[in-house]
Amino acid sequence: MKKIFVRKIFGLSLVLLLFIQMVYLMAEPAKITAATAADDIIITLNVTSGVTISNGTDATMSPNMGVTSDRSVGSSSWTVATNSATGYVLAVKSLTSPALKNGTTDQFTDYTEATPGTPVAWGGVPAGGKEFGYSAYGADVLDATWGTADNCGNTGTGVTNVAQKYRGFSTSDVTIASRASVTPNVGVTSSICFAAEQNAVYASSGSYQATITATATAS
Amino acid sequence: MKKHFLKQIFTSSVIMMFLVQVIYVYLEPSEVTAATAPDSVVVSLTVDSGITITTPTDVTMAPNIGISSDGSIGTVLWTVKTNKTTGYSLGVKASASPALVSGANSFTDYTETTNGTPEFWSVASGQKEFGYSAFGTDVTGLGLWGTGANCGSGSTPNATLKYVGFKAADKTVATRNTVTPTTGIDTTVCFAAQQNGVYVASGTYTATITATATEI
Repeated sequence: MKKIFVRKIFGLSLVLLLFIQMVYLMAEPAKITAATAADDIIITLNVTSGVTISNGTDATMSPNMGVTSDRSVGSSSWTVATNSATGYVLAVKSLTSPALKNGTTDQFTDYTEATPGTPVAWGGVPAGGKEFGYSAYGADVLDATWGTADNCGNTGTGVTNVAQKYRGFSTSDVTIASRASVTPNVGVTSSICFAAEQNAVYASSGSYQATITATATAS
Repeated sequence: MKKHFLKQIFTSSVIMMFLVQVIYVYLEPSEVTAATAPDSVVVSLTVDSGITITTPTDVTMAPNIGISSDGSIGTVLWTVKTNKTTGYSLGVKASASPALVSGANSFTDYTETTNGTPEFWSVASGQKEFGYSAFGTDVTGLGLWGTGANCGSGSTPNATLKYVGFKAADKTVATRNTVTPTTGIDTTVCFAAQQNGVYVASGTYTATITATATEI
């Protein structure tokens, strides 16, 4: 009896062993395959191009013009920040033509350059004329075009900086600053200088205004 | 069967490409807009109104009046400059009434037929009077002072000017409603004095006349 029981156990063990062997043989190829497979993934990050511009402060030109004061200067500035790999362009334009007006009462002629559109040193206001123009300076402002000054002149006397070059406003954009690379995240500041002068003629008394729009565009 | 399947794939691809193109064209402008940043500033310039008047030298009328000379004339010129949009007015007045005095003696201020309305120079017999007129670019428009362009000659006032007696209150002699040239506008005031059938006591007679230019 005991002999028969041992034989049964032995037989059953063999069957189990065979079964395990078959399972192993079935599973083995998959395990071998997993050990040699490779896979790549691509990680994508989009850095969107953007540009910001600060809110420039409105400018009150100084000193006031009058019967004993022929000149006045003013300034404002904009800070542009961009992550565009190819940089940005900062351009300005006026809302009206001419730019500086006192309603329908009187107006200043836009500064007239010897060569239209080419900034020139201030001082060419002809007798009998009254004119309004602008210049610019800053890290991204081209000195060759706008001069080498780093201030807008004397707000006490209204005398412009002689190192600056001026031009008259246009209702279409004129570039005052640009760069071909990303800016620091604090941005790059460009200053704009305004100048007005009457020469042997009186501008009619009153309050004159010009609305100037600066647009920063990612290149 | 296989040929039909390929045709379906090709058609589907074309449709997909077209759809992608439409979406791109739709989105492109907004992306460009997003890449620009505008800001506006208002630039203000105040032109203060102001007015100036020249300070001419005092006037000595000529010739002297005496027992053989009854009339005398004098001239002064003020230049007014203003940038006031609505212009200015220039008034004159005397500091005393009558204006031309020498101690207790005096000339009567010119008497007009209609009080205050300038008229051609004429002094009645037994009277001694002192008056004034004006001419200049901004005088004419008032239509009060005649058409003369000088104060007369010798001892005789210009016959085409109209005269009035001084008052202690301002009387307008010139005005304009626009900005002046920077060289200003000249206004000439003519003085005239006359005795007629009566002697003025000898002495030095003076009148202090104030001209005031006022922005309108």
